[in-house]
Amino acid sequence: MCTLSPKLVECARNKNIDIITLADVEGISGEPGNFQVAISRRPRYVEARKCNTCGDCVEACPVSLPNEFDRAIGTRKAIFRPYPQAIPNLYGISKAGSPAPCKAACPAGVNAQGYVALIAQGEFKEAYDLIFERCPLPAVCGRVCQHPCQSECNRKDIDEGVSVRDLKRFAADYVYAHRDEFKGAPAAPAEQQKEKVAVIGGGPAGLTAAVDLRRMGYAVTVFEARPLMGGMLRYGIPRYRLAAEVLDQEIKNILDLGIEARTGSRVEKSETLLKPKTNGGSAGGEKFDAVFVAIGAWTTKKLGIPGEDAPQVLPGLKFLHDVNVGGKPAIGPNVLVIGGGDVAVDAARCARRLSGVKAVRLASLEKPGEMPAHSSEAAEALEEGVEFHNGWGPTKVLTDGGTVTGVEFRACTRVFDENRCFSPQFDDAKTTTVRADTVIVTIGQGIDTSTLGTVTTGPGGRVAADKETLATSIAGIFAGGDVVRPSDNQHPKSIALVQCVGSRDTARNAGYCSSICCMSATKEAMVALEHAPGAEISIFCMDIRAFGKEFDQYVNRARDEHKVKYIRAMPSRLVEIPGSKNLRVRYFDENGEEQQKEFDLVVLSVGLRPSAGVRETAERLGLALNEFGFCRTDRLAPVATSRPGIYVAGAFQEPKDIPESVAQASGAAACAMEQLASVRGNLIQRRDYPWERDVTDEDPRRCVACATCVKVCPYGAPMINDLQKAEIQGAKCMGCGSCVAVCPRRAITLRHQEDAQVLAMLDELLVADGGL
Amino acid sequence: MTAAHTQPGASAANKGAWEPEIIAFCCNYCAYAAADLAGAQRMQYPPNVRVVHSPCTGKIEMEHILAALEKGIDGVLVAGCLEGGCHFIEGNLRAKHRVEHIRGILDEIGIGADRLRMVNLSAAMAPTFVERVREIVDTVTNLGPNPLKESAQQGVVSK
Repeated sequence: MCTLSPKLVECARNKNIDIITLADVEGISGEPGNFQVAISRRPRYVEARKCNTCGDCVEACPVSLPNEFDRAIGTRKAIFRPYPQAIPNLYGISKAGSPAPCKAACPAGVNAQGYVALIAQGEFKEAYDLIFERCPLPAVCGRVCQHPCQSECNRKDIDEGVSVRDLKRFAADYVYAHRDEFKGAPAAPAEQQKEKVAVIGGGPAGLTAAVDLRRMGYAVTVFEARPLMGGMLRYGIPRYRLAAEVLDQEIKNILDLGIEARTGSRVEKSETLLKPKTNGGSAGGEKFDAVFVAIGAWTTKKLGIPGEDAPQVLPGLKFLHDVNVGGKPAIGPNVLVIGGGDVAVDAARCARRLSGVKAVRLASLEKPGEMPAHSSEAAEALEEGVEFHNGWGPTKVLTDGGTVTGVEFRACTRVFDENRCFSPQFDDAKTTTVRADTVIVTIGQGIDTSTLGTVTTGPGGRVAADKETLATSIAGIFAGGDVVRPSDNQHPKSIALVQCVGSRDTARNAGYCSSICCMSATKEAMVALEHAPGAEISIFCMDIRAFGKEFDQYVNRARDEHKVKYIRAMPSRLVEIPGSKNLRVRYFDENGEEQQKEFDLVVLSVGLRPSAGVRETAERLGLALNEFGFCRTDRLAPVATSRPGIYVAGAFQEPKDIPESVAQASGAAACAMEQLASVRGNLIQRRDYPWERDVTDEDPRRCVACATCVKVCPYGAPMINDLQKAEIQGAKCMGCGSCVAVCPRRAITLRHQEDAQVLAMLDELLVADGGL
Repeated sequence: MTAAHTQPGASAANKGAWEPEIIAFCCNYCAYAAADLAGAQRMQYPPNVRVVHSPCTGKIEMEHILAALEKGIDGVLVAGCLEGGCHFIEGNLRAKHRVEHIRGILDEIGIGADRLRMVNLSAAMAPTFVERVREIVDTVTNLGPNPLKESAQQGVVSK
């Protein structure tokens, strides 16, 4: 910091240096002396013009994050300044790696906080458009969504989550109700693609995919087996939760984008729709370049218990389907629903609404609070008179002559194991029987894989993103002012620092010297001794390259005064000793004899590598890299890159410390100025200096504008001017010199009667007299 | 200056004996003209006086009078217009105040107020000028050499 900060301040104060922060250079075009640089800037989330760095925001910010500036040892707030001397001295907000909790929770990634904010400002159409970007069924989702956004809302810590779902419903309903005001469908695709895509399934997944593909410019055809579009929305979700008109409206919106829908056309094998890869195949019927299979999960899992095949045992989805298409399923007055999910509750509530049904009971493995069904749905079901039997697992469907009479249950002691995995356990001794004429089974759904044909199914989930491997702790770092080893937090008595690990090592394509490690290791050793006095420190090195100003004396001090041992050897092996967790270092000494030494802690001076983004940056700028990935420069022109007019400084060229980087940067700046020599001084801003005036008769630094001269002068010649200095107006001055004699600051002179002249005259008169 | 050099014999005749040195600050419009007239009329007066020309007695700075005494001058004459007759309206009145002030200082530091005197003349009053010069030469002769003269010659007081 002490080396860097003054440079930063100097840069910031210079009128002719623009500091562009949060910027990525996207590319450079042009030739030396006339480059165009494309820059993309990331948002600061704080208006730089208004921020005066008072720091009140930091006090108010509730979010603490690891402080990168402290190597994540300390914490900072989400609104922060990287460090107190930061230039520009402004705050910024680091948005958490994930988006807002509501947006992160949304499976469709709808920008929930965005449309809530827009609705708050009365921008309903904009809110609707924002939702539509990610979710083409806003009104539907506004009614039936499970709204994980609401459950994750930060507001829940204060009272309860923002009603995100209802707001979405409102935005959609408002826009549909005021259709005349909001003319124009969502923007048409920018560029038409020639490929055609088939989507199998007209449910929410198929419709969303169709919209996304259509927006990208592909011609989309949706195949729906059932007579109407909507899939589970139409045939699964009960009408009392989602009115058919709302669904029709939204499906119409989607199809209006130019999507073809073929209802009642079941696709038997998805690959029959695909174009043959070679031209040899005969094209029978319509063919597509790609097929998206969104066939939903329409089969109901079976209980796997005796008596299940009785005709009065209905699969839940079939029951819901029948209710939704308007038919009256044949069910008795006593209905038993088995299952604890949303489908179970939907089925139970649907059954409750059917005429002739006297009692609806719902049996689930889970305890009341554990049921996967949404709590509000369950509560409403309870209100409507559905009887809940929690904590029971079915063992047998009781039948009498092929007619169901009831279901036998045993007690469920637990549903989930310690790892929150589904693993029910039962108590066989405790049983009960529930009377029922009709049993509806809703214990989960499956996929009818027949349509998939020979398509191999991959893992169901997303491709797992690579875990971030950013190490938050570094071996050998001094935590909390103490030297401890990371493995067991013991205070080490003997420490080894091994130099040139991964540098000056041609076997690892790292033949270059890492440059800073010799001095860093020496400094670390001295600092470690400050924190752990008496520790024995050895530095294993090929040689010590202490080439900076007074670096050599520093190393000598470490060796002579602090007894740091420099051992000229490259350790060949490092083995942890079981038990003590100490490390044994094996090396060959200068005489070629094998030595072994035990240390409590070993610190590796790992050679610097080009930083991760260097290759990409270099590619964007068109700079050649050397074999190690650093910028390629010529031995005789160490700041010139392979591209004329672009110069390099600092560790991008090769590993180097700060003073060397600064020196090289001066060189690079000088080279850059060479290119600009012909137009030097053209585009710079100069400092504005005060207006100049004639100060012949006064000394401006002496005058204090006491106005004595103004009072004395009989002619009004002196005046106090705009600069708060006395100014003699020559035209008025008669030259009497009165002002000269009265000026308390002796700031006024009279020509030919100046002090020096009068005194010289006096001297001359004395001397001319020949020593009177 | 012409007046001072009309009688060069005095100092040569009494070589070795002390003769007072007097500076006369004369204003341009009255006193200097009177001295000039005295010279033109071949009026005799002591050669101990050297005339320093100034635009107005109002311009004669306190520092210059004190500097003259510091340098070893035995007496100072400030000669301006008659009161009310200043070419620059009231420069001589300011000079009068200034001279009174300096005389106080001279008394205080032990040099003696009498070594400094202000006189008022018109341009035609050459005889008065001569008379005043004689008077101050007599006064200063009686007072003896300026006590600062010796140290000024030894360089103790800077020139």
